Amino acid sequence: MSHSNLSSQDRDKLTFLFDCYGAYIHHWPEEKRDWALSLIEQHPEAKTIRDQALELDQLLDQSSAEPDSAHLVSSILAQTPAKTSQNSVKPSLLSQLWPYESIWRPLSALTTAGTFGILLGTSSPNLLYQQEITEIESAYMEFSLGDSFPNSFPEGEID
Amino acid sequence: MARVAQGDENACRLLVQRHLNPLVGLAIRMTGNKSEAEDIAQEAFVRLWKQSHDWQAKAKISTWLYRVAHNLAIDAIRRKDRQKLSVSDQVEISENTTSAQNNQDHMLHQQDITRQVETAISRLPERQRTAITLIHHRDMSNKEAANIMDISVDALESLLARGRKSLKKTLLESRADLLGATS
Repeated sequence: MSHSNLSSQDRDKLTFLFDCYGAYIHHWPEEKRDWALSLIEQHPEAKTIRDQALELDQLLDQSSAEPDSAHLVSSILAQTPAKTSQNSVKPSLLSQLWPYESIWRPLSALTTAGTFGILLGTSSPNLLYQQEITEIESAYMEFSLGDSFPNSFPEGEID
Repeated sequence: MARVAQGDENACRLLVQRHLNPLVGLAIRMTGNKSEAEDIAQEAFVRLWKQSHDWQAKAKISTWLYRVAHNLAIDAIRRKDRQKLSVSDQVEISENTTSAQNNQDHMLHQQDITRQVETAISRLPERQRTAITLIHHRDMSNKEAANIMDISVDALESLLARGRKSLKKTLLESRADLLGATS
């Protein structure tokens, strides 16, 4: 350790460093750490200035300013992207398709109508077709017999 | 952060457990009101969840959270300033101060020292309180703290120097009692 006096310029700079950042090395700006440490090592006066700053740091350490807020964790986690998507995205997809209260009524009506249509289609496939043939046949019979066929019968209607 | 955006609950829980208390602490320092500080910390996390899908990889989560909390606290302080500082808060601070100063017997106890330090800090202007909290209690670099407060490093150093000078004057007046109790 050198016993030479600290230059006034170094003293001022060092005092300003401790005034701003205190005595803890990890609080000092990185670019000033080596310079300050070498001054402290070389000059007892620099060490004294640092020790004075250390007193305030030790007092500030008594108050960590980290209150226990564990009771907030669950409510914060309830609002994470996963939770909000579970709560909001799925219903919104459904609501896009059916923006009304319940979907079972229109769904059951659609199912009933569909079932009825299929049953009708499979159980009486020739109903309409037969009816059409019968009407054509009767018209043809009337035409062929000639007596009762009206004179006003328009030509070309029966192909 | 990608895991947070994907909805990984463990990643979210880790973030909350790591940053919640320090965030609430900073907000209390700034606003002087615990419930308000808790609201601010919660809001900061909710904003982080919303931001997670568009997160820039280079951004540091802690800096982002502190910056949001800092800005929310500034808003709360301004709101309170407009409505005038509530009488109950002022009474709370002065009661703490009076009881800590009058009761010399309890000065030896850790709780009283903490209270006295907190009272001294609470009397500093808001920006000085914030600067000291970020540098001393959150171990942030000067650039990071300046970024959070949206000021230059020179301005930050000015706040720190003035704040520490005031604290030194207030706290070291009773240095013998305080240091005697801490050692």
